[in-house]
Amino acid sequence: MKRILLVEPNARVAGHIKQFLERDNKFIVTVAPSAEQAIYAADEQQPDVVVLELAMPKHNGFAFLHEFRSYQEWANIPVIVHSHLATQDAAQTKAWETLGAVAYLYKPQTSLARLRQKVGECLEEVSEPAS
Amino acid sequence: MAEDNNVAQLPVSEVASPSLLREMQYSLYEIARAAEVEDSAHIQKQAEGLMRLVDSYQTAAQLEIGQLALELSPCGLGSVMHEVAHELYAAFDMSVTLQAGVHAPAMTQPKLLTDVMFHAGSMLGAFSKKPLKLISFSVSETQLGLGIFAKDVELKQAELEQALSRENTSHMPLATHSERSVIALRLAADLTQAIGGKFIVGRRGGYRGFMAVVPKSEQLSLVST
Repeated sequence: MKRILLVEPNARVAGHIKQFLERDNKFIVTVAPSAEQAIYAADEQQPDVVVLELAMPKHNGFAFLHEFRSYQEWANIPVIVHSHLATQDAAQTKAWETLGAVAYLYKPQTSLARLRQKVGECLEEVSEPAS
Repeated sequence: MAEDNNVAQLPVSEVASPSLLREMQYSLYEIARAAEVEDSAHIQKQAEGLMRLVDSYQTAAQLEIGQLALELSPCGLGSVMHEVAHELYAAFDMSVTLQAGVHAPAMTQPKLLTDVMFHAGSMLGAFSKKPLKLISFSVSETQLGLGIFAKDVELKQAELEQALSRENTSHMPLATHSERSVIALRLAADLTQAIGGKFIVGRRGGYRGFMAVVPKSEQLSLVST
């Protein structure tokens, strides 16, 4: 089973996402409600993919992503940004791309089914890198 | 002292719309995702909370343009406190204890005061991980206070004022506490003003939170001495 680290401050939303992603027993989801706890969780769980909300109090998702990417052992773990922050801001888009996120899913327009599909795609790309 | 960027001078319908829409989007998102996992209880709570927010927004907008006239009357704060605690529990599974420090009635509009404390509680509940406390107390000979407080939240009046300022209304004010917008606090502030009071950050004992300072009723004492 693949491990997903879900960085999501809203407990109810995190619960729904976790419930949906674990439904068919292909994934185990660990929830971290803050950037600080996400780093600890990543160290403990060694996730296969990270799903990250950028809009968090205190330290936002950008701060987490920056720190996460500073660790060599996590360099190849795909990070999917799944956020309420809109993507019209060019500076923000460049920021998450530069920091190595592989995808940006705008929450209001992303169903849980689409999120699960994207997680699956990212994990396939990691296990079968392009030749 | 009034400045051009003072949100108090701008109509709520003009300033609050982006923030209200943002909050509606959050709620509708949660409703849609709850539907995917068939969490009907959460769908209901979100929908009812959103309707309440929209209702308060409509009330504030109508008051502002004079479409609504308020009738104030003597009202025991205890009944408001019970109503608020019940509604916060129903809406958010929020545990609230009551501490009644006054028996004198306030001169107010009970539904609006309930709405004020409900919105204040909804925001504070997003910041705090501990049970909240509703406290009524005497502020002065002519004023009473009703507030909702938390043990584990550091709040400052300047933070609240900044959050309610024009520049921050549609963004993430009080960002150190929550990623949600503060439209609920803006409405709480407006409705408190409409009932002749003021909405501020307060402290009671080791607790901090939001409080409404409202006029004391001069007409009727509910407790005979």
